[in-house]
Amino acid sequence: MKALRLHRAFEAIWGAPKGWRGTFSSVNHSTLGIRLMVTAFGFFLIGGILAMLIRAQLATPHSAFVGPEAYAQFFTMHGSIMMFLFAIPMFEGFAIYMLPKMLGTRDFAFPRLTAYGWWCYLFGGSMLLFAMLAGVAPDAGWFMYTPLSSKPYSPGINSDFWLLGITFVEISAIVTAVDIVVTILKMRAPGMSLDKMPLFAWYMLVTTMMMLVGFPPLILGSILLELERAFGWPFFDAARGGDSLLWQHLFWLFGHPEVYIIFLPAAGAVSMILPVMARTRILGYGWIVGAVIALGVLSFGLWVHHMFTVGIPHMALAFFSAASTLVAIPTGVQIFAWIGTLWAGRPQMKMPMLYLIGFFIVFVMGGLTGVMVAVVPFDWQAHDSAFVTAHLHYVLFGGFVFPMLAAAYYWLAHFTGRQYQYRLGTAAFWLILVGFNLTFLQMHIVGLLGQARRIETYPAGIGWTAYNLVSSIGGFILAFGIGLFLIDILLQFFHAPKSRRNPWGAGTLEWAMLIPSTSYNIASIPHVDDREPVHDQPDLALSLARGEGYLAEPRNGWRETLAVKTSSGKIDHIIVLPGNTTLPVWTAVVTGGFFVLMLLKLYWLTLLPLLGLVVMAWRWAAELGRKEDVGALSVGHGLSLVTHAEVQDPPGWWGSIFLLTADGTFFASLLFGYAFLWTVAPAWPPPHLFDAGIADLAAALAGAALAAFGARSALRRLRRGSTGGGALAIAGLTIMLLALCAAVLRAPPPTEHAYNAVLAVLIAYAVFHVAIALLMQVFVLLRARAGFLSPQRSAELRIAQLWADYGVGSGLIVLFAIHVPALIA
Amino acid sequence: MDPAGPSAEAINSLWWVMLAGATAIFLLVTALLTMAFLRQGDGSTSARKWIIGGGLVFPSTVLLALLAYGLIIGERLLPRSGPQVVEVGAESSRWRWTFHHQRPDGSILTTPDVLHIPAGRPIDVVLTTRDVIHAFWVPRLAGKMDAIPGHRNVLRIEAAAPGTYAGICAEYCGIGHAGHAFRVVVHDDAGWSGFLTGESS
Amino acid sequence: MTALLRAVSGLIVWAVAFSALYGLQGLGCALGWDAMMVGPIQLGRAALIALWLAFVAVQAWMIWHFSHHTHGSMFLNRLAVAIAVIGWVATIYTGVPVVTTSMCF
Repeated sequence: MKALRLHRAFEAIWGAPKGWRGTFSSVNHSTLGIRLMVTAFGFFLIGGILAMLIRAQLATPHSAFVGPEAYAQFFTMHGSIMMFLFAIPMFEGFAIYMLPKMLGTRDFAFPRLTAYGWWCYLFGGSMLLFAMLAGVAPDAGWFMYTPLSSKPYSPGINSDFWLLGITFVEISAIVTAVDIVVTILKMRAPGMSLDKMPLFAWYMLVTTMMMLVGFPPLILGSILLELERAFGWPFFDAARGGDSLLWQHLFWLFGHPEVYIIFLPAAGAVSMILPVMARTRILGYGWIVGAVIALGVLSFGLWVHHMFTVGIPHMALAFFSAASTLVAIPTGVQIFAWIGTLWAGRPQMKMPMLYLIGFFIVFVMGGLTGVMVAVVPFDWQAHDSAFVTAHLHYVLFGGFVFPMLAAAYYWLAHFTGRQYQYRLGTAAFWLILVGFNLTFLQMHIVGLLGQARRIETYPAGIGWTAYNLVSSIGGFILAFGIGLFLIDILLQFFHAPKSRRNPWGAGTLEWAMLIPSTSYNIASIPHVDDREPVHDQPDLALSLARGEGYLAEPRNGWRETLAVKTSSGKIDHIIVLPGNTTLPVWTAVVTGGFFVLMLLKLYWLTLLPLLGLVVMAWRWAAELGRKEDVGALSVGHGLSLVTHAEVQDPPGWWGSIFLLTADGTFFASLLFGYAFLWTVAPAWPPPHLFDAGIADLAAALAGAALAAFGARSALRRLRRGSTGGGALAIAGLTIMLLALCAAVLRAPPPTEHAYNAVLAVLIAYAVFHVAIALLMQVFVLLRARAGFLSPQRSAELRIAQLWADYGVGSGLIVLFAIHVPALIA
Repeated sequence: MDPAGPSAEAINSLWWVMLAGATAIFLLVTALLTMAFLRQGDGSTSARKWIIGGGLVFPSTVLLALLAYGLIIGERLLPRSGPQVVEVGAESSRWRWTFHHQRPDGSILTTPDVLHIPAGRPIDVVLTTRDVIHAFWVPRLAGKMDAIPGHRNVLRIEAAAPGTYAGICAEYCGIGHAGHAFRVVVHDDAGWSGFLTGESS
Repeated sequence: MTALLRAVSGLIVWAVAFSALYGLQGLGCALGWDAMMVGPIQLGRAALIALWLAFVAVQAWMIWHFSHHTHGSMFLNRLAVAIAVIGWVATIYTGVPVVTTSMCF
């Protein structure tokens, strides 16, 4: 019974303590994935209840069910919850639970970040729920157009709840995205080159890269709008050089990729489930990978199609119209690859397949109306009407909810360990399919007849009544279907008999383990030579449980897993993951403290949580590391590898690269905003330009050079076995910080003109990043003195150098951006 | 959707063409899906046939044609200047519309919530706002256009025959949004000159 | 990682081309380049067409380059060529409006 002995030993290392202590300290991906999914489903039900209220109001003309104030909160919260608190966390939770299992590893690259992400999401989501219960929920529509959401027209705290709560949740999305990207690129089973990854991993790789590029513009927009609301900095106020169109650009720069960010993970699930249901392999793996990448990139060229009616020249509209029709082609490639797979195989109508049929029908219709609204003149009619409401529900419900329902049935055994029973799911399916179409099909027509979005009442006798009544009835049928689905799933946890390990006869690694899965996933890590390893070796699960793969012997109580080369999947080093800790929840509490103080308008007090975050981040990094070199350790099969502490590019380095990618997008969006206002906004050029200071500029350049040189010199010296050089970098960064502070003193008051306000944000951005770089240099200097660094253990220095380079680079760009126009004039 | 002017007419034909195409494509996909279940394959289908034929060539052809059709109509609907064009001002605010019509003597005739235009002539509606974003939409006459703070947008509309048409604000603008409506009264030649000289209003 | 970046570079160049065309169109209109003429066509349109064709040429070269120089695995090489072709087609397709539509109207 070697398998049982291993199970007990691994469970002791990877498990969480019982009771509340475990709840607060667990960093395990399976636990957190399930928590995310359950929380997201809870929000889905709340969003659904709001939808019912909306439909109840619209069922009849002149309805007196609720007034316009409450109705505005309903539709704003319905959209915001479904987008930010349901769809994104739902697929994140699913990916967090499932990806390590599909990739053949034991956990995520940054388990503490996974936990931090969930806590941030929970707290941020709770803020919005609290606002709703207190009757002060956001009410300016889920895309929060300025100036409606600005202070003069939304004086209450409602919009602040949206801006701060959603930004809090977005922090969770960004850290989770970094976590997922690094895990996919570095933590696969040995031998799993990129082209042997399960397709879901490709979809998630593209999705999370899109999140890193797509979310920063929204975060920037939210920060700018909150600055305008809190301090009167006029980014969006036309009278003072702002432009409400800037909000629309930033919002949709996020908002359109967002649609694909939601669709792609669901499509990834389809690509996993469908071939199994058809008892064959997926058709055109390479084509699908190409299509997914194309979709990911092309979807960034669509955002203006939400702005076809804002008065942009026809040529600019035509660029986006072309891109919007083009994006249908990679979608078509996937659809036909799926149909071709069914055609090639012998499809069986099991429960997941039934829901996939629903997906095909609803999503294809949504795609077709999507092509219609991509055509500019038609969009001039359909825009902001119920037609668009119908279209987006076909795309999102069809493209996300149906596949996720299919996924729920397909992977159910993984969570319950039981066989599916009862068939309530079939009844639920028909209720959902019929209810959905009754709700939304004729909404296309009433939209073209002139029913605008977001109206809470309409006159009788203009022919809209019947359409709306049918929609409302359909909505309630749909709700019954969802309720039945929930009951069906809950029943499975109790009564059904135990399931076989691989109930569908699938070929991917998530089925090569005990179900329900254990905290460590697999007792040993397989070597993979095929896209569907379980097909090759039907007894793989047993062999892994007996410890016949890599890392089969628990060692030192460490949470060990393997890292591979990004492309080839060649085995590279051992990763030792951090264990259970309450640091994530405390950090989330402190982060939440910042947002709550912002909400309460206690702006000076927010410095406290900011300081707290510095302390937390310091501890976060200081908890890791070792004071001696461990050298190569055996991983089994006669192979010995070093641990991540002794390699050039540990996960932390990769994480920094991707976090900086997101940061760079944020910065680029800010520069775009600056250029946009300068060329498009009314009331430009500004009355007074920045008072250029050549001496500061020269000092900053010298500081930058010193910092860049110092960081490199420290690394060179460390390789030769000596410490030092760090002081140079610290001096350089300090000089830069001082030069930037001098710029702050000369900057014109931000409330006067959008130009001044943008300048202030640019300088603040640079100060923030130079300060981070400085802190990190101080950190590594102290770590070197304490003996945590050695010629082998140099990664912390390399990471600090990345951030120093970024701080220096962005600082210089900011200084040029504020000086150059002033010098020219 | 019961168009009453050339702009809405053009968009209406576009809609019917797209609806027919979309229905055909939807039926094709459904048929292929159904047949896949009926035939029970042997795993030997070629990827190229499906993906290149169905996923690349077929949609590319359809989309290219559609894009061209859309761009041509889009160009036709732009507010180009011409001798017949009448310019009216539409100033939106929460929650009313104020329309400005220029009389032959240069003075401005202002009407609340009712826009007056002559039939059969292209009208440029100049859209401005005094507060938040609104959108001007008369579904039977043309598409819509937003009124944005600090900007001046122009929408071309035209009504073929005299009559009264309902117009609404399409962009959510606060709690009075649902009631933020207006009417467009379309005059024949005599009615139009009568309106401008102030005999009827 | 470089092999993966190389594999997706065709579409990244499309994104650059697309942003550049959109940015130049906005800038051209702001600077009044639609009113200045170079021979029979507007200055702004001439600049846009030049930029568009330059990107089409660069991306054509990328296709040639990726299909004659390999780096990394066979899969990523084929992906690089395919994505370069997609990016090239996307630049041609989304750039067509520079010759067919009104520039600042």
